[in-house]
Amino acid sequence: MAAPTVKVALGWSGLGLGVRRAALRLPGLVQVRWSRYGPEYQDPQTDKEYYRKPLAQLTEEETYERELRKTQVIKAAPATKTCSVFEDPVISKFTNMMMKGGNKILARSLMTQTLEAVKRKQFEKYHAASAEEQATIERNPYTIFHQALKNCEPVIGLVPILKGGHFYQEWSGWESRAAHV
Amino acid sequence: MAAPCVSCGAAASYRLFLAGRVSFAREQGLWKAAAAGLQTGTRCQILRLKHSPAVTTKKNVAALRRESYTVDFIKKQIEEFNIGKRHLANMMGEDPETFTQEDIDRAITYLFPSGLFEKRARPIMKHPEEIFPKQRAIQWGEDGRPFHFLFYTGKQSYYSLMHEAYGKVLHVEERQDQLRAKGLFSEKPKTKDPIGSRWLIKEELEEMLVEKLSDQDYAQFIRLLERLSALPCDAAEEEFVGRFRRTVTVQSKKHLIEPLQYDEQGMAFSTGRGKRKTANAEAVVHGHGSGKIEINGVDYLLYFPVTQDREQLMFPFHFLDRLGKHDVTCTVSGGGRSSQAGAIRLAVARALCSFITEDEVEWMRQEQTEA
Repeated sequence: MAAPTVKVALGWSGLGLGVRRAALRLPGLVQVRWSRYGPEYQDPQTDKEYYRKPLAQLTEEETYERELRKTQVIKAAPATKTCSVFEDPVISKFTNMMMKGGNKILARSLMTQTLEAVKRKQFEKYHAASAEEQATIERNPYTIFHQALKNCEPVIGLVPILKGGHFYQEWSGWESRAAHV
Repeated sequence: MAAPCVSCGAAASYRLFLAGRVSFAREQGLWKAAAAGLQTGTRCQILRLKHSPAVTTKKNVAALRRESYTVDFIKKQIEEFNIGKRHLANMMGEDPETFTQEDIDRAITYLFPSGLFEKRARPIMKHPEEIFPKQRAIQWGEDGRPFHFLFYTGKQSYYSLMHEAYGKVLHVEERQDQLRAKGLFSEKPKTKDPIGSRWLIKEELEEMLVEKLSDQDYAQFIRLLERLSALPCDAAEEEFVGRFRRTVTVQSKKHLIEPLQYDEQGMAFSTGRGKRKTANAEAVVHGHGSGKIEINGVDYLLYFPVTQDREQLMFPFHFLDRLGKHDVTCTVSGGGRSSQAGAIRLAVARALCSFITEDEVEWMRQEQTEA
């Protein structure tokens, strides 16, 4: 009986639940990217495994969440997302950041060419190496890419520490800072 | 018979104008014309509001206060509405006894076609209860003494409701204590209601009580109701709690799934339509196939040279593990390449609904919104 109160904030005026009125989130800041979806729309879940789990194995919270999702309206999945196993969110993000002027075709082709080039180089090394070295050579370009990104992260970062009623920015490890929301 | 009809027509039109915004009718020209028409009508019960010329130079302070409508005024409006409804039915040549609100809406859109974008600015004819905001009757008697004992709290309906709910909680707890004393108390676990209903939201509660509430008031009220519903209640208390719950629709039920159709060879097929931005697509999915997709008579590999678009076409099949099992023939027009791919994806997903179980329909909806 603990159904949560459903907040139908902006759809109440009778305009319809989908259309949103303009609303400033923060004072002094102008919204640049707009979404036609209202706040009640939930993000889609594209993971196939989430749905294939048999009902008997679900915990109570998961069953509750599933039932709740049946009553919620959901946004359409974007054109870049599929349930494919070959899709990598980090690669997609990187491709989007590489893209200029909306030329996704070029950005994606460059990305695939890069990954292919990495794979070819690794295979050349693999075939030229001895048996012991072959075990150490990584040939999957995706793992190399992820490791490269991790290597590019800083080691230390500034963290606000409270001392004597004041916040001082002090150096600490990169992991100890609060995750970026 | 023409004269009364004309005046009643004027009355109907006057009623319509009144329906939009009551303050509009305060313009002089409108009132004079309506008043002139009204004076000839004898059969209709028409309200004649006395109109005094407004002082246009000074700010009309009285008009700035919220207009309050007396009970008699509302009653007269309701009578007028019912009579106007019957006249409208006669005008449209339909039976006045079985003239519903939808018929009224249709008649009004036919008689007064409007191209205004703002739907609320268009001519409407609805029951006065829906138009005039709900107001409270005078809360005190002739001697100035208020009727309700909680009048001086400011939110009498809210506090009396809280009082009632808390009284019920105490009553149930008392009953439980009595049962425990007798030894007849049994710890029955309360059956958890699956998601099928929700509590009233603050706006709905305000509308019900005709009072402004704060967020804290609303939260307090919901907490009290949850406490009451957690205790073992009998039918009267359940009914009390039920008054503050609203049903929640299961979203996938809104989309009707068509049954499978069969062609001459006996093979099952299904059609679906999809839209995305300005692209429109219609897809025919055949039951048995080899994964061939034909778009506007062209193979999908030639029509969509970009990998991303072909992945979008494959998406519904891949999700349902039916990749090489269906044949698709579709037509698409409008939009760019990405929106055409999205439109075909939606059309294919809708067509596939006929082949799969309801659970899978719900999963697809949660995953790619085929509604």
